[in-house]
Amino acid sequence: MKTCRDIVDLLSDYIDGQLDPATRGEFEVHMKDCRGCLDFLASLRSTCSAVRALTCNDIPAGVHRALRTFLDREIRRDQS
Amino acid sequence: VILQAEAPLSDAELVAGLKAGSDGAFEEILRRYESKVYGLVRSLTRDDGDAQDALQETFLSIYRNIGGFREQSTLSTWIYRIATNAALMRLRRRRKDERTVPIEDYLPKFEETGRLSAETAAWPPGGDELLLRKEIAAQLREAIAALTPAYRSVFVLREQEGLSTDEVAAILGVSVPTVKARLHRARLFLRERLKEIWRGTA
Repeated sequence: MKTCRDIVDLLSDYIDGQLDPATRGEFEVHMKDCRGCLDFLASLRSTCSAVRALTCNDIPAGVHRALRTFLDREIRRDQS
Repeated sequence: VILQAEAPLSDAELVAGLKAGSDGAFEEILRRYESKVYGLVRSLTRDDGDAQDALQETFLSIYRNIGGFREQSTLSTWIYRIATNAALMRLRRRRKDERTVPIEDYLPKFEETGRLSAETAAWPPGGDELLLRKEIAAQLREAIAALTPAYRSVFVLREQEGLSTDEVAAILGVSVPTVKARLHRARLFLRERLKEIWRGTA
């Protein structure tokens, strides 16, 4: 019989679909009877989804221009 | 006359082009990877100046070291590895990142029986809905910034950049089980840290 401590260790593998069928079976048996772990799983999953939905940092125009200027200068120096 | 669109060059073709000294190939690599690399180094360093420096160093290094790229990994893994190292180097140079906190303080707590503690299980009412709101982005970024570099690098590459566990292990030079363990602890940390930020006690 798995305890909450065992189950919490498996949460990420469960979320990522990486548990083998036997372990997943035990995981789901525990979840049926444990409100705490079930809520924990839901909130952890929401946290992961929110992170994935974060928009990535678009490159600012100034940084883009500075990169081109830097590379032109350094590459010309390499070649001379 | 119907102009046929040319098929985009594969990464392997770009590598061959750059090794042969083609400026066009370098230009295309820049176009393809500039935003990705910037997003990665900005997330890792959490600093505009460090991100700009790491970005420049990454592309100069690609240009100079392409001859030594053996193609045992994909071009993107190679580029991500250079960029990650450039960002982590800058983090190490900073004397102290006062925003990071020890992950151990935020891991789940259990009762003696192995049962989840009420404190850990607690989640604010409406918390899931709160996470769907746009305004939460700043708080999430703040929580991610509190991860120490070892955890942040795994978390950003895996969760934000969407790379596979194997790719992240290759980029960071650590084992697959290490990547999985760090990702798991980082997620647990983030959930707990968010609770603290919402309580206004972080």
